[in-house]
This record gives sequence, C-alpha cells and structure tokens, in this order.
Amino acid sequence: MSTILDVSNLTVRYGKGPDQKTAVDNLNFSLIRGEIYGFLGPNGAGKTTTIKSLIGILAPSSGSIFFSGKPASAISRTSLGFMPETAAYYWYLTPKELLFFYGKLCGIDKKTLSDRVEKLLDFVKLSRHKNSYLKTFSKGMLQKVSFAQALINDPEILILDEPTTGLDPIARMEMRDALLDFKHAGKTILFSSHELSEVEIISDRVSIIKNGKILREAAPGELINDKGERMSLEKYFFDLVKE
Amino acid sequence: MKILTIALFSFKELVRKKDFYVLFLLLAGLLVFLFSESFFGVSDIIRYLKDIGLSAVLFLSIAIALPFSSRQLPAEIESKTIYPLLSKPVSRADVVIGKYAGSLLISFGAFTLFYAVFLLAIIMKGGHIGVLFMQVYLFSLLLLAVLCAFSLLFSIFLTISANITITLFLYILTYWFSAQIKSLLLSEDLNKIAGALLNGVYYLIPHFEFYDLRVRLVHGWEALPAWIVSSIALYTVIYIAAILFLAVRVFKKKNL
Repeated sequence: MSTILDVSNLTVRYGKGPDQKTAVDNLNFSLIRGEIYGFLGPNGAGKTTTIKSLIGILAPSSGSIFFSGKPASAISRTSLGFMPETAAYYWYLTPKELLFFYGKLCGIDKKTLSDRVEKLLDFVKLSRHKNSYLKTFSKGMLQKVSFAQALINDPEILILDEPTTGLDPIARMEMRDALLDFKHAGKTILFSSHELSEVEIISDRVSIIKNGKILREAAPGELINDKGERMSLEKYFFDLVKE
Repeated sequence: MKILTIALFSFKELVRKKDFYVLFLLLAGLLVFLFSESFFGVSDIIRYLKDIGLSAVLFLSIAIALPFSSRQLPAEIESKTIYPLLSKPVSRADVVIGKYAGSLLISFGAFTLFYAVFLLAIIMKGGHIGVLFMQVYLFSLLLLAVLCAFSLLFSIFLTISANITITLFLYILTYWFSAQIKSLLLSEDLNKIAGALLNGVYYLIPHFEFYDLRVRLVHGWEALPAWIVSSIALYTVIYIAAILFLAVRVFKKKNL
C-alpha cells in the first residue's frame, strides 16, 4: 500500500498582526492509494482551507504537501481532480463543451478527449443532455457535470468539497455509487462532507477536524468511546466536536 | 495554448448573449436613420455620418468591452468556477492573460463587425475608403485594448459597477486633461518641483487622445505617417504589458 498524498505540518494563517487567524494548525495526514478518506468537521473547522491548499489555490504559511512523492505544483495537478461545493458553471456552455474546455486546459489530445468526454457523460448519466445549455440544468445535474469535470484528466486522486450538498436522496445515492466506482478503479478520494451517514458508509478512513487540528483519524468501524464501546460516526463526531 | 483556450471559451459568451445582437441592431438602426436621404436636409451628409457613425461604433464597442472585461474575473470567483479552473494545470497568470485575451477577442470582434457596417454605409453613400480608415480601425482597437486592460486590473479589487464607472471616468478625464497638462508643462511660470510632478503624471497617465482620429477623418485630412502609427502602437503594447504585469501580481496575492 503506497502513499499517494502526504501532508506534513500544514499551517495556513490569514491576516496580519493582531488580526491574524490560524485556519489550519500543523496538520498531518496521508492518503493511501485506492482509499476513500472522509474529511469531517463543523463549519469553520479548516476543511475547505486545507482543500484549497491541496489543490494549489492557497499557499500554506508553512508545511509541505507531496503528491506521489513529489512536491505539490502545477505538474502534480495533472493527476488531481477537484470538485468544488456547488459551482455555477458557465451557463452559456453545454456539458460537452465544458468538459472539452477543462480537457484542453489539461493538455489532453483531441482524440482521447473526445472519447473521454463521451464516456464521462455516459458515466454521470448526462449523455441525453450533452448538447443542452447548462442554464437549463437542475442542481443535481450540475453536480454531475461538476463531478465529470473533476474526472476529465483521469486523475489518480479526487478531492471533493461537500459533493452531496443540496442533492435529493436519489442524486445523493448516484453520487455515492459513482465515488465507489471510482474507488474500484483503483483511484483515491478525499472528500469533505456534513452528511455523516454517507461518510460512514463509503469511507475507508475518516478524520475529524476542529479549529484547524485533526482531533481523530480512524476507520469508521474503529471509532470507540472511553468505555471501549463501538460508536456510530454521527455520535462519535458530535461527542468529539462538542468538547 | 491554455491562454487561447480560456480566451476562445470566453468569446462563446459574447456569441450566446443577447446584448451583442441588441447593440448591433441599435447601430444598424442608427446608421439607417443617418442615411435617410432627407436627414434634416443637410448637405455633405457624409461628414456628419463619419463623425456620428464612428462615435456610435466606438461607444457601442466600449459598451460591450467594458462590462465584459470587468465581469470576467469576478464572475469566476463568485460562481466558484475559479477553483476547478485553478485545480487544473493552469496558473493565475494564465487566467489573467487568458481572460484579457478573451476580452480582446470580444471587443475586437464586436468593433470589427460594427465598423464593417459603418464602412458599408460610407461606401453606399459614395464615400472613399482610404488608408486613414485603416488607421482609425487600428487605433480604435488599441483604445479598446487599453480600456480592457484597465478594466481587468480594476476588476480584481473593485465591484463591476465601480470598475466600469472608474474606467470610463479615467478615459474621459485623461482624454480631456492630457492637453491641459501638456500646455501647463510648456508654460514658463511653473516651478521645478511642480514641473517634475506634472511631468511624471503626464507620462504615467494613459493617453487616450492619441487614438482619436475623428477630426482627421471628418475633414478628410491625410493619413498619419507610418512612424507615428508605429510609435503609438508600440506605446500601447508597452503600456498594456505594464498593466497586465500589475494585474497578474495583484491577482496572485488575492485571497480566493
């Protein structure tokens, strides 16, 4: 089992002087190739800030991020896919055009891109709507498009920020199945979510973060209280973040 | 390649938005009105046509260019599409330059189409299209390029409406005051410090008056010598490069 992502002493501070705030405080964790890693925490815990650092949007104040043993950089981003929380994609494009746009930015050749776009649209069940404008799409359909764009470069690691936010139960289940399919293809997933029951079902490991620090990292089945009793992720999470 | 991809996809927005077509119809309507044979019974109508027609073409092109370039980066941030964009192997500099190139494509495309209608109107009225018309075309593109660069820079830290207002204000203000500053500099009753300060201001502000060839066109004067055209083009390229350099620096530091 090899490590695909290694985060060491990651610290992110905002502001200067007395107004400075530490959003992520000396974070350490790593992802094993092929696992689904749930990243949990209350609002303002530092999840999104950590994710922004991982995808290269935010420069850490200190610490390091390594992808497959190499420092995070534009080059390593070729093997990374990212799905943001509810992005409003360009309304004047069709999903097919949108995927071509992101694919070209990743430097994928025309033939490969053409095949991949068709496969991805099929994978997220949007083939029927491939030539419709995104402005006509429902929230669930847009989340599928967002998921497809994250996969356009056939990434080794997929990072998702609240992928099921605002989805109805059917769309949520479809998203969960898509994530599991991706995992079965040998890929790695890190995702943040407030949907604890879902995280518990699909994650191999979870970490619970609060005030920029990881409070606990374990497999969902290994979460036990002081008395040695096994707890549900939901109960464990609430007990931990309440403290 | 990445810059071109970003620019070309931005251009799609213009093609698929109604604004452009509305402005195009507006211009066509205005030109038809100006071309009516009995337009206030004015003789030598072609001079008025050149003046009003060219002003309308420029105004409408600016009306497309400014809102578009000022919206490019804020829209990416507001809709959160900046995150998937930057999570791809794309740098912040690629985004700024790509968005600028997109703004250029849109404003140049719109101006070219409007100008073609304007030229057609001139030809239909028996006017002669000479070298000066080509220079007017080139200088108008240069003007739009500078305005787009300012608007893109301001869009990193201003709201869209504030950006458009300030860019237009900068355009009008520097256009009118450049000549005043120059005549002040040439006057002898200016002390050394004030002179140096004014000199600095004169070289720092954009010189939009360079691009205005309307009087020359209306009165049928000769075209500008090639060295002046080349100098102004070079000045514009250097000025835009400086603005974009600043825009990239500011955008790199922006907290997204």
